This record gives sequence, C-alpha cells and structure tokens, in this order.
Amino acid sequence: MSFALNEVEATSKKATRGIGFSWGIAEEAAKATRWLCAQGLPGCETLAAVLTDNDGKTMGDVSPMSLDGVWVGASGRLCPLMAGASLNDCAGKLTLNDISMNNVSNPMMLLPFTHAAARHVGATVSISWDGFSARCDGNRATFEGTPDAVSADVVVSLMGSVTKPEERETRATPSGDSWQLLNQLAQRTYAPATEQSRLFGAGAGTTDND
Amino acid sequence: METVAQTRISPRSPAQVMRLSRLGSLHQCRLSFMRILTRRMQRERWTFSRPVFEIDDKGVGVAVYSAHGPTRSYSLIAFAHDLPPEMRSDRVIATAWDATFTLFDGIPTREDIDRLSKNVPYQEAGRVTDSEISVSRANRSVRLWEHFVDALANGQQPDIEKVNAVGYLMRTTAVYGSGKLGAADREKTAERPETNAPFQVEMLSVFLTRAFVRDLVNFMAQSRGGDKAVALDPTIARSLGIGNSTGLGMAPYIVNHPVLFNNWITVREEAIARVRNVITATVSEANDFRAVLRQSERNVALWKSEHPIQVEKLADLRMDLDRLNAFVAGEDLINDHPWHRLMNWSEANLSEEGQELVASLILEPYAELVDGLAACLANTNTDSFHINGAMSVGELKDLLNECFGWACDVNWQERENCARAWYVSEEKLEPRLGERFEEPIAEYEQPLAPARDAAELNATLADWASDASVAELLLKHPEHRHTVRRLQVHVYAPYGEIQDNTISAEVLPIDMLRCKLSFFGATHFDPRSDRWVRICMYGGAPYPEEISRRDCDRWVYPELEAAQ
Repeated sequence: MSFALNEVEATSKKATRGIGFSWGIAEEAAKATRWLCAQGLPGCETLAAVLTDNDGKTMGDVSPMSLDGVWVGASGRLCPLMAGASLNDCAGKLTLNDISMNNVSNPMMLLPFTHAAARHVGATVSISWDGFSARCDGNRATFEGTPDAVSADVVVSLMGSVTKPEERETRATPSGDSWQLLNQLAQRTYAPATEQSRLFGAGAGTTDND
Repeated sequence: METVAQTRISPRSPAQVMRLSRLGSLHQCRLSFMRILTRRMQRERWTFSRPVFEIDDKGVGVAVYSAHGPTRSYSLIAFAHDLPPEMRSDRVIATAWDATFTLFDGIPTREDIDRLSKNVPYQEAGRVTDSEISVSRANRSVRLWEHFVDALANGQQPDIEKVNAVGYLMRTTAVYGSGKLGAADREKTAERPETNAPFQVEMLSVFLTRAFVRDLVNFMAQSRGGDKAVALDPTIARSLGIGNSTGLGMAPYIVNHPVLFNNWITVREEAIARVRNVITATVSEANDFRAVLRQSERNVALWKSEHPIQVEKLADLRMDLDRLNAFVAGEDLINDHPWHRLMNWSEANLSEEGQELVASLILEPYAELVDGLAACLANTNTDSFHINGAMSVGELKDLLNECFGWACDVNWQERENCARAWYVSEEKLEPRLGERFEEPIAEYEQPLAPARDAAELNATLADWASDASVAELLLKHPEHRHTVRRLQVHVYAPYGEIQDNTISAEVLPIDMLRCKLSFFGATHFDPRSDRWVRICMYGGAPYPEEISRRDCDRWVYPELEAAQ
C-alpha cells in the first residue's frame, strides 16, 4: 500500500515520542523519515530499527557526550537522531573541521541531517562510512554504495559537488512490519479513555439530530 | 499641495492582536479563503458541469460535479446515503453519514468512481490515493431537510424564517486534505496558482458540495411530489450555505503551524495598516463602507446562538453596531486618515467583537490595496524547521523575553494556570482537552502549551552563560528543542504565537476554532459548548452556474432588498 508523505511524517513523530524521546527530537525524526522516503530510501524501516534500538534508553545515553573532538555516546553507541540533531546544530563548524562520530547505529538516518547541514552552510556536505558515501548540496543528494549498515563510524565534511540529482518520490511504500511497529509505538502517545474524557474531553453537543 | 511625508501608521502589535479573546472575535474579510476562491473563479471564467447524477428515489447514489479552470479540472464525487437517525453524529468518531465526498484531481473515470465507492463512504476506515486531494462528509440538518422536501414536494417554497434560523441543509463534519487517509500531499497542489493560497482545495470541495445539496433536495422533492413538486426558489437557495461542525481537532492546528498562522495574521494586519494609512478617502469609498456596514448589520441580525458566551458577545456586538452607526453618522469618513481615526475610536468604544468587525469592514472599499496580499498567505519557507545551533544562548534569551516575557511571570505551579492538558485519546484518536489534576493524562500531554514550555526553558537558561551556543544547550536539554525551534521561528514570524495561556482553567478552545474558521470566511459562529462550534460557509454565494454573472466577492453580505 502507498502512503502520503504527510502520513509518514505524522506517524513517525508519534512513534518517536512513543519511546520517550522529546517532542523536538520527534519532530526531527518525522521530517528526517519523510525526507528519506522522498529520496526513495527505506525511511520507515530505518526509523523502525532506530526506535527498536533506543526503546527504553534515555536521550542522554545515546547522544554525543561532547561536541568537541570525535563524537562518542555515553553508552558507547550513538543514536542517529540525537547525533543528527547535533549535526544540524553544529553545521557551521564544518567550515572549520570535519565531524567524526563513533559507532552510530543505523547511520542512514544521518542523511537527512546532512542535507539540513548543507542548507545551513550553503555548500556541499559529504558523509561517508565503510562501503557508502553521499553528497548533499541542500537541494539534491547523490549516493554511492548501500547505506543500510547496522552501525558505523562516520565522517562528515565539507567538500565535493553533487553530480547526479536523484529522483524525488511523492509517495512512501513502507514494509508492513515497519509500518506496524511505528503505529504500535505511536499508540503509546494516546491516553487511555476514561468515562470523564468520553463525556467532556471532546465537548460535543448532546444531539446532532437537529 | 505637497505635505511633509508622514510616519507610516504601523500594523497592530502581536501583543495586542494575539490574545485569545481577540482571536476568538475575528470576522471574515476580503482575504478570507472562500472569497479568494470565488473571485478567482469569476476572474478566470471557470465553468462547471455535472457529468454524473445517479441517485435513486431513496436519495442513495453518486453524483459528480466538475469545475474547469484555465488549465485544470477538479471533480467532487458525492456519495449520498440513507442514514438511520440513531447513527447521525457530527463527532469525528462517527462511522456513517448522510453524504460522503472526495475531491478528485481531474475528471474521474468510471473505474475511479467504482474504486472510490468502496472507500470514501467509510472515510477514516477507507483509503484513497494521490489522485484524490480531499475527503469529507456531511450530515443533514434534520429539521430543515425534511421541511424543504415536504414543502417543495407539495408545491410550496420553504418557510424563510425556518431557513434563516438554520442557514444550511447539510453541515460538513470533517474536510480532510493534505495527505490524510492516503490523499495527495499538499506539495502536489501547492505550486498551482489556483491552489497556492491556503485551503483552496477544501474551499472548492465545500463550494461544489453546496451545489450537490441543493440539487439533491430538489431531486428528493421531485421524487416524493411528482407533478405537484416545485423547484427551490433560487433566492432561497442562494441564502443557504453549508454548515460546518467543528470540534477540538482544529484547535491544535494554529499552534502546530506557527509560520502559516503568522502569515494569515500578518497579511490581515498589513491590510488593516494599509487602509489606516489612507490619508483621504473618496466619497465613493466612504459610501461603500456605509453600504457594507448596513449589510453587515443584517448579517449580525441573522446570527443566532444559544450558547451563553456567544449570546453575551452578540449582545455586545449589537450594542457596538448602535454606537458605530451613531459615530459614523457624524463623520465624513473622508478626511484626515478616516479609517485610522475610526479604528482608534473603535478601540476606545467597542468590544473586541465590534473592533474586529470594523477592522474587517474598512478593508472592503480597498480591493486594490488588499487583495494582492492573498499571495502571501501560504507558507513557502521550507527552511523554517531547521534550528540554528550557532545562535548564542544570550540571543535566545532575548528572543524568549520578547516573545514570551509575560509567560515567565506566570506562576505555572498554580493549579488554575495549568489546569488543563491537551491529549489524544487511545479510544478514538481524537484530540481532547482534559483536567490535568483529575484525569491520568499528564504523561500523554501534546506540546500545545508554548507559553508554559517557554517559561520552563527560561528557568533552564538561568544556569547558562550567554556566550554558550544553542547547539550545546540542546545537546544537554533535548526536551527544550521544540521550544527553541518556535523561538527561532518567531524572529521572522512574530504573529505565529498565541500570546495567552492555552492550558489555563479559563481557556476557551472555541476562540482558537473561531480564529481559524474566520480566515476560511465562515459566518454565524454558533458554539455548542466551550470546545465545539457550528458555522455557515458560502451563505449568499453564487452557485457554480452563476459564477459568471453574479457578485463573486461581496456575496457574504446579504442583499438588503432581499432581506426586506
């Protein structure tokens, strides 16, 4: 079944909030997943893997301990949503030096943040790990190799230029499993119904047969 | 004579405009989304056709209404149903309706109609594709529908008093666009001239729905009355709008889309400021204002509500109109910045309902100053989402102070200041507003209290040096990320934030609903509770076949001759 990218975005936001990450990070995850789907990459599958890995973790466990030097997670592993948010926030530093990250899980999820960093600095930004590299100029992205590593050490740098623009997709076709998982996690953001909420929460009138 | 260049009169400040009580008093104006659409359809000589009308004598079947613009066509596919009364509910949780609709991008084939007939009648339980750009449903006004069919079947026209008391034969209970239920994303239509302004897809869907409803009631009367039946008088038909019943689901929208919301308010405030800067009005502009004021009085006279809050606001508005008429009678409305003086007088003498009515009405004589601003309503800034991590904490503090300084002085521990929480119910996936201290909902709270969240960020910032970066701050405090994003948006979207507490014990969600609906161009706001409102859309508007020859701009104001 094909889904609107808005549906992907809405579900991704709720699912990320569902594992206890903040609303601001959930917003990043939603836009990032949408971006991956628009590139024809398996965005929902990647987010499902990221959220499975990080369910039960605190954001601090899987964020860079410091933005100086090589980025390393407190738990020894970096979540690509937390590292990606920091990559967006530190885009300006790319004009001074590369950013290296150790042991990022599901690094494909860093691609949309690399795209965002390229828009910030107004230049082409490349990202690479073992067996894969990508270049983003803020409008277009090109990829070499397969991006679906489970984890990798990553280098992000200013360089290169985009050679071949990729086609943009307008629909997403997530696998049934990943879509089901995202929806299950999204369920956690819904409050169980109570008698009071049924009666008053929506505040409808008493009859509509008028 | 040349005069010394005067300082331009500025738009009203966000602090003045963005209060909930004022946003909850807004009225339609020249920039309302329905009027933008009908003006365009006339200007571009749109034509309309009804290629399918296959309805049986029980009122069940399908009809297609196509609108043909200069380069594209759009078709409303309407499914009419026979709904038992016990299933009629305006709430989003309903599972069956009197009629269901989709707006198709182009002209549907028979296969498209067959496919959609298996999905659209089920609404949320069905799926559509990116050939469809909206999905909606409507219920009859039971009282008025039966009266119409009965009267027309017996050769009589409906009782105009009954028509005026309700104003519509059907009310929509949801109009979904932008990728909902599998429909095309907004991006598919955003760059098209006819759908660039906000909600034009939804407004077109409702415009065509109104024609379908008129045709259906005529058809049902004909089926029942046979030779005795008469067709609905076109003047009565024109007075009918389409109702809309809106609950809490719409309220979060204006909080969740701060850039878009900013554009709407900015555009209206800029329009008001342009007219206030008119140094000298012409006689015909002054007369035009007087005429539209009289027509507007008729609109207010027809506006009925039984809800205590709106009853009081309407009483104030009617008193405002008396005062306004007395003031206007003694003014030439021509010299010395007439509209600026009128606005200043209204701020000192009228309720917010009256002030905002004046603000909308002074735009009417000035199409050339106002209408072009419609091009600025859409959100085209795709970079507004990206946080600037290089900003210093000092700059962020300044922003916070400017945007939410007032919120930092609120004691958010006091129960009445945080009595409510917005959440989504597991049961029906609908937004609700609950009592934080009486229900187990706090952990499910949606981020719809920007003022409270800004105050929390402010407390965190007390421990941070001004030269630290936002990147460092957010690394340690990702819980503030959504708030930092909003503050950075505020730099270029100063009207994007409601300057009020959206979770207080006193908050009235209907203020948020009315604000949004006023931009659609709705009239006759009729709250059914503090979080549920009915409105009327397109009352007085031309029907599709009248677009080329009737007033496609000022239809919202009742014709005085017809009202005698």
